Amino acid sequence: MMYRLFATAMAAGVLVAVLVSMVEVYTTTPLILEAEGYEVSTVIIGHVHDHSAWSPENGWERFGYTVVANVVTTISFALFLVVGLSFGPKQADRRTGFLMAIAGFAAFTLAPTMGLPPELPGMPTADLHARQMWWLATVLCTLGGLYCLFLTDIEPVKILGILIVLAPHIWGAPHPLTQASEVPATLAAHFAASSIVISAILWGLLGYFAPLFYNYFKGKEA
Amino acid sequence: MNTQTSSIAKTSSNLSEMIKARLVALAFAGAMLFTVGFAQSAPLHNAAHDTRHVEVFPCH
Repeated sequence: MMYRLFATAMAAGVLVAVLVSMVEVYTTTPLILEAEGYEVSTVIIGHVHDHSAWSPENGWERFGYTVVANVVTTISFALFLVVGLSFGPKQADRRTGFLMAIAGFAAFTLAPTMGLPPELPGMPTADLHARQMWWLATVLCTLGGLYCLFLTDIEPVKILGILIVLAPHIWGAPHPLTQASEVPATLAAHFAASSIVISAILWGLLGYFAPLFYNYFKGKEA
Repeated sequence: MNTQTSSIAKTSSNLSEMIKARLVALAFAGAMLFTVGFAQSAPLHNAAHDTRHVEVFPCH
């Protein structure tokens, strides 16, 4: 089973990450680069890169590292999705794949985005550690809540699931002290929309390919 | 009776293997997400910078 989960996640993760990276080249990457032009003049906002540290050169090198980071991220997402598939029938079908992909998209994109909208370089943000903690809590609550809601049959547990999903939003995400930014609002809005759509494409493709590989690797298990 | 016992034993060993596989998969997924999305090391942050922004990880 271990082999099947990991083989499926790696195959689907690499394939989807490469496809999504191509889409990013034409959609989000130009927006990030444009925003970085404004970032230079917004040191007061607190977004300062450590310029002494290594960073990839713009162009192919930067793209290469982004692809690697996308591959690692997408394999992780695929592992969550495949664990979800393992609760279903031995032979995964596309419907289950898409349902699990919707759950993943809800937990890793929709729920955290409610409190922490996609940010471009140069935009004002609250304390990084506080945002990371809220992000983590929200993802875990959403995953746990969806599990209670859809993978158990006990009524009170389902109601508890709804409350768990809502809890981090009632608590509230950390917000920056100021909303003012040098980055044009239209650029930020364009980036926010694009990054959510790209996540949707990523999860949609994972939902399509993961069941295919999951069934393929079923016969390959020792 | 024996067949029944061995079938129960087999089911429970399958189940525990399944739970172990799921936990290992989730642990790996968590560790990889932490490295790409959360780790504060400057070179790691710079390498994964664009992915962090697009995948809506808190970045800076």
